[in-house]
Amino acid sequence: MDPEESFRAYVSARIAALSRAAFLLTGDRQQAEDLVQLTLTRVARHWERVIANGDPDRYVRRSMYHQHVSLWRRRWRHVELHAEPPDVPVADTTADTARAIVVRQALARLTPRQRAVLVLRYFDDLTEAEAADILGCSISTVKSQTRAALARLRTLAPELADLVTSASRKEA
Amino acid sequence: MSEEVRALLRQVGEQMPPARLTKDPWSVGRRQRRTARLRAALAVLATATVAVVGPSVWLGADDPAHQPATTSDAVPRKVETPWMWQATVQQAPPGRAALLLGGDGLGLRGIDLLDHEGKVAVVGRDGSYRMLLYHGAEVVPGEDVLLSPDGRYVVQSFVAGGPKGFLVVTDLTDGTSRALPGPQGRDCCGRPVAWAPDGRAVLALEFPREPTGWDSVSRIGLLPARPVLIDLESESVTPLLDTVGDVHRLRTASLAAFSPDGSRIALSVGDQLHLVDRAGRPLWTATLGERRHLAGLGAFSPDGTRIATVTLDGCLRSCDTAALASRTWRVGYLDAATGRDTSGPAVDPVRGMALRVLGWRNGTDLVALRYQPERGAYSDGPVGWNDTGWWETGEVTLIALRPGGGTEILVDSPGEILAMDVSRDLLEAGRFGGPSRPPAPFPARPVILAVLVPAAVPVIAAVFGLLLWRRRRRGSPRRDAAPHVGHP
Repeated sequence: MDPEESFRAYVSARIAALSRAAFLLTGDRQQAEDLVQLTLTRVARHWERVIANGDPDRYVRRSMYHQHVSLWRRRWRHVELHAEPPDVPVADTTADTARAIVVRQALARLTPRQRAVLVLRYFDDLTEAEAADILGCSISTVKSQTRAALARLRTLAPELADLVTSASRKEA
Repeated sequence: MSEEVRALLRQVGEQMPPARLTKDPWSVGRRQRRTARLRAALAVLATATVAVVGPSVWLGADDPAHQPATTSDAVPRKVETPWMWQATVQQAPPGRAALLLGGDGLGLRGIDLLDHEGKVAVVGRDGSYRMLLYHGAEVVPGEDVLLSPDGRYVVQSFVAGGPKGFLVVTDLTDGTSRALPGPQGRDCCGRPVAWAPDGRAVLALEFPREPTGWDSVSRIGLLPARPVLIDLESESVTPLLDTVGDVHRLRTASLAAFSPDGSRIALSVGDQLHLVDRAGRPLWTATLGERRHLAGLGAFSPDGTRIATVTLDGCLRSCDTAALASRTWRVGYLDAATGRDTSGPAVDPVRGMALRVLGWRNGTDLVALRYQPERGAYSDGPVGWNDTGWWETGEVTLIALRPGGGTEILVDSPGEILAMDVSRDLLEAGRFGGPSRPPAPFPARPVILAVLVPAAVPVIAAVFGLLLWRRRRRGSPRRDAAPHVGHP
């Protein structure tokens, strides 16, 4: 399979998962689409090297998370800050949807690295060592960021406290 | 792994349909790749030019970094963010330093894939800027990286390109680094806290590589930190206390302070302050409460009779950015002989997220760092929150608090600077307001190519265009003339 064919096959197979991870990181559909577009464009530049190293997912994840965190730190996006999360119109008030909105609002108030750690550990289901490798930091940093993120979630979304505490306990 | 939290995140993620790619990533990526390769080729040409011309221009004999320190040494009145490619201490040692700076932006925090995510700028006594690099981690000068009292050395847990050790000491006069072993010769898991006033010993925290237990609330592993005193000459290690708490949950602004003669050490453990001697023998313990802390590394008064504390008036729990910024700190004192409250020089309360005392100017004025919160900062409470942490801080200012009232800003610094450390000899002698100069762009690290290459492209493209145009002009008459050769 030539490089272009294999790249297109990879994108076709993984774009849904990448989009979901990008959405969890950015909290915004438009920004998630931009992040996916930028990440895949960058990956295409080095595709031969990426697939030569085996699993492309590792490189793609690393590229996406680094880009997201570093761009945020450089004030690439100008996010309007609120003392409290803004009200979001809710059409469907079923318990699951309401809970998803609470989670999304709480995630939006974490730091980018805290969000990245949660997504890697709980959404992508990576080990601490794998998450540390992707984020380019130490395992203890992953642990401390996870601890801070879970603690923050408990405060921001008390209705999820039981779940988050349970996650910490099971994780331990 | 919690299935419930996974399910929640999945539920949120499923609100996102597959991204619509507005441009074909393959075509755009490959075009960018071709452009990057062209730029790289052109950069080689530009770099070659710089390499030939540069040294004579930028590395000339007037490099002030190599001038000896003089009695006119002073902390500059103004500092700036260094260049992203600023040379390292190892490349071009700056000599004794006046300041260490840490913070944000390309100059003080790069991107690991290209540069170093952790950087500290060393400001030499002549105003020159050099860098210490710490890949993969944000570092806070004054807390993670400490300048020795005479400004000649820095001590840290590790430094890029340095040896592996419990701690690493870097000599700023020649750029060399030396590893310090920890207890039982350990080469891991140390964190510097304070230099002894004579610069011959370092107070550090030792913690285990693996967790020894689990936090009952967060279920995150606990790494209990034990304070130890390391003698730099003999490399002997003296434990001072059993533990001061989990290493990731410490309030780093108020960990410890040496008495001026170096014989006693005040150590914070939770809401208590312990005074011990250099052998770890306890002298007294005082309970300060959750709002009162040791003022900082320079908390001992110059005569050693008082220990300054700071007391928080304002938000302690569930504090948003505005609440953190509007906190007020009152300076109080403990009797160093008994640990009981006592009176001392009255200074104005300070408004800010945190206040950390570094020392005393001319024996009278408190010199301190005033911290303001990062935009969007939010504190749930004192546990797990660090008042002077890298992520929490948005701005820092070096100030002097005069007895009887009055505050003076000692260094004019840009908002990207989030932490500082000051050479204690200059601080105590009151040598502030010295001449300042902007960071010189050279000497540089190779990462400068990341900037030079894109900048050189338009120039080199113009040269290429001109060459192509001249070649075509020269070629055109010959092609025109060719038919006549075969048809005389």
